Amino acid sequence: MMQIDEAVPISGLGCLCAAGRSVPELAEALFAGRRCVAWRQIRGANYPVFQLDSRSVPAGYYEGAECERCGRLAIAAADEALLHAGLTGAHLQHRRVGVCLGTTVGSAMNNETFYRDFRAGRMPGIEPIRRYLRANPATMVAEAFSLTGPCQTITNACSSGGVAIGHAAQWVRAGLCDVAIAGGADMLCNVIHAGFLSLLVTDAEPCRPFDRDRRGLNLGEGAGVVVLESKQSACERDAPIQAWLCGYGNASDAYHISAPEPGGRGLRRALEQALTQAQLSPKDIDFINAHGTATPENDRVEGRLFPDMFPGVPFGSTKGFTGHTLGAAGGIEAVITVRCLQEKRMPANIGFHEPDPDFPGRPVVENTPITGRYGLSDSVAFGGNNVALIFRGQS
Amino acid sequence: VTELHPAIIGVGLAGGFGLGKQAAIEALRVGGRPNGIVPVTDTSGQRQLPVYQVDTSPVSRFVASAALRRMNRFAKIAVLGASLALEDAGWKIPVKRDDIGLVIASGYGASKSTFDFLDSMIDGEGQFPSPTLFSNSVHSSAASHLSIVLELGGPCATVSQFEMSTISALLTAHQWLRSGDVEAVLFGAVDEVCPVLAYCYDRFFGAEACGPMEPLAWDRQTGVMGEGAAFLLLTRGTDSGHAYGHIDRLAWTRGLDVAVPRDSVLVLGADGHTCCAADYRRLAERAAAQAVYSPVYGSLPGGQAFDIAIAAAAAEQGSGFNRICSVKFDADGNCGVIECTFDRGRSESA
Repeated sequence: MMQIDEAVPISGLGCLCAAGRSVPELAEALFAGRRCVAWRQIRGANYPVFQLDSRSVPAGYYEGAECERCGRLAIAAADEALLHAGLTGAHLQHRRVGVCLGTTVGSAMNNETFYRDFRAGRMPGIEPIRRYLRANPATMVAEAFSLTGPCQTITNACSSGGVAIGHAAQWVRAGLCDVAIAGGADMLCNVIHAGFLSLLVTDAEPCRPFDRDRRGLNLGEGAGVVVLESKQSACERDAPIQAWLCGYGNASDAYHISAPEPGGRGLRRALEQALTQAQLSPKDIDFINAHGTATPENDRVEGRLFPDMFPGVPFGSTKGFTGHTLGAAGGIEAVITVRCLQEKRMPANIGFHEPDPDFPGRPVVENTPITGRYGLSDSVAFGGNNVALIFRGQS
Repeated sequence: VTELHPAIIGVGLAGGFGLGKQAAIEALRVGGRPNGIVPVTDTSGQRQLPVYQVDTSPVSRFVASAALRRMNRFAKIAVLGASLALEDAGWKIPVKRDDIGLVIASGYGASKSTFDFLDSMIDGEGQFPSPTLFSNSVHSSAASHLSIVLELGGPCATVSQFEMSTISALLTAHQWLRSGDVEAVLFGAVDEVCPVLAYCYDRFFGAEACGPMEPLAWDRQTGVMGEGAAFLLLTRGTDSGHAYGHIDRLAWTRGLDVAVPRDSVLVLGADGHTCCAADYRRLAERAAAQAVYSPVYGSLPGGQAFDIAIAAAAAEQGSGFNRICSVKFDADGNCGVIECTFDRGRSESA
């Protein structure tokens, strides 16, 4: 049984993704219903992707080594979040600051060029490997801001960003850190794209979360970061409190290596844990930012579970705006959830047109006012890990 | 972190030394050595690179053959280590519980499956590559397979922080126990050797990658690649009658800001790499007594987990130390510190 614990203040938000190069830009795009789909040729066919445009990427992103890009995105998001939190270099120097980030591509040793040379016996040089060893996203952020607290890169596939935020909150509660930079970062990568194509879970059209005719996900890239801070640290410097992280749940399906458990057993448990930790009941939740990848299996699980557990609570997926950013998704969606609490509205679930008769859940089809204070964001990972985060807005 | 002292109630080891704690203790007694060869070709010709390799065939003792067919080598190594730890604690497999956390630490993840998937991409130009290989190539694949075969429905995390993976993952295990999220945590460090990693190792270190490992020869590169799994079954420590001992303190620190308790033996994570040798050397000079276990298991990112598991097993058999302070440095000056107290003679008292 989970022990009741205290909420952790969130003092800053940072995000960049296809929908916006900052949190305000992202929010503007979400509520304007604008999605920026690009097309990328993979294995002879064009697929929609949500990629960062050249104006929004950090210096060196396109020119730099591929494996370092996740870290660069994370640094850019952390920079915005720290500025938002009002945390200067002097503040950071006098605090124990940890970094906890989720990723998939950022930890993968899948340099295609290097490997093709290796296979062909061309004996490639090891500079790409040196870069890979320097490219751990959490370490890159820690080094960029001269931080000396604990570092953790979570590689739980698509729930990584959410897990990272949950872990960072535990560090702050336990007094391991005064401040923690937490979230996720991931980038588009041909190898990963080929992998999702092989699983037959990729839509050749812009994705349609929860729609009857959905065919799968579109990949995206970006980073989403929150600054978590101890109450003492926030109080000492009169920090701006954006919201509070008050519940975290993490549970496994123990079912299949790439498919969710059809009954949503693990996700239900993660949601229940988060509610318990937040000392809330399902009726206290005011909206849900769903994982909503637009794969048939994922949306069926959530589309059945949400009406059952949270009857009448509005939900929607924002992956129609951001694409599925894999290890970054939990971070980006945490930022979106907090921003929705601040704006007191949630965006329409773009891409949804026809209800699926296979499940009763219907996402919101227009921007929807939020009257309460509690927003929930969940992540469902490849391999069966499920994560739920509950945020409380400022009254 | 000091306020909770998790108890170690099970140890599972798989490596070049063999399977189980007895094999590791025997290697410790006679001196560990590589047990495998990976041929590599570099600019100076072909070389036989010695490595510490795991024999995964005994995994069939723990997992049905149908499940094994879907499992990559990385996951099999993990299942071996985890199953041995559970068996050591007297737990039945599958565990079938939702209140057990699972934390995996890995430096490079499922490296062989990663490159096998690239093979299927490159060989099958114009066709879809293998979905099974893709599913198995992600870092979390070992944790996923473990949760499935052991029927663990609790929280799960895979941490990838190179040499700091063990301390970082143990911090999470500790937090889960502290918060009451779980009754126990199955923690393990897992890494595997593959031809590409062997090639990289050879290119980095050349003939020096051939060992033998002499981690206290500070000025020489003597690291030999290793693979394996080191698992610990941890509880909150309130009912530790059959425990090996406790984890007293976990710390993530920088440089030489490490205070080794006077009554502890310093267990150095030195594994034959000159990049960290100066840090270990300075620390060793300040310690009253020291031990190094890396020649038993080789050089791999999660080596610190092996140090804890071997120290626990050695203490149990009366050939180890009551108190240890395990230290692992990375090339950036980060340092993971794990202090443990062990109760000698566990076999007799349990």
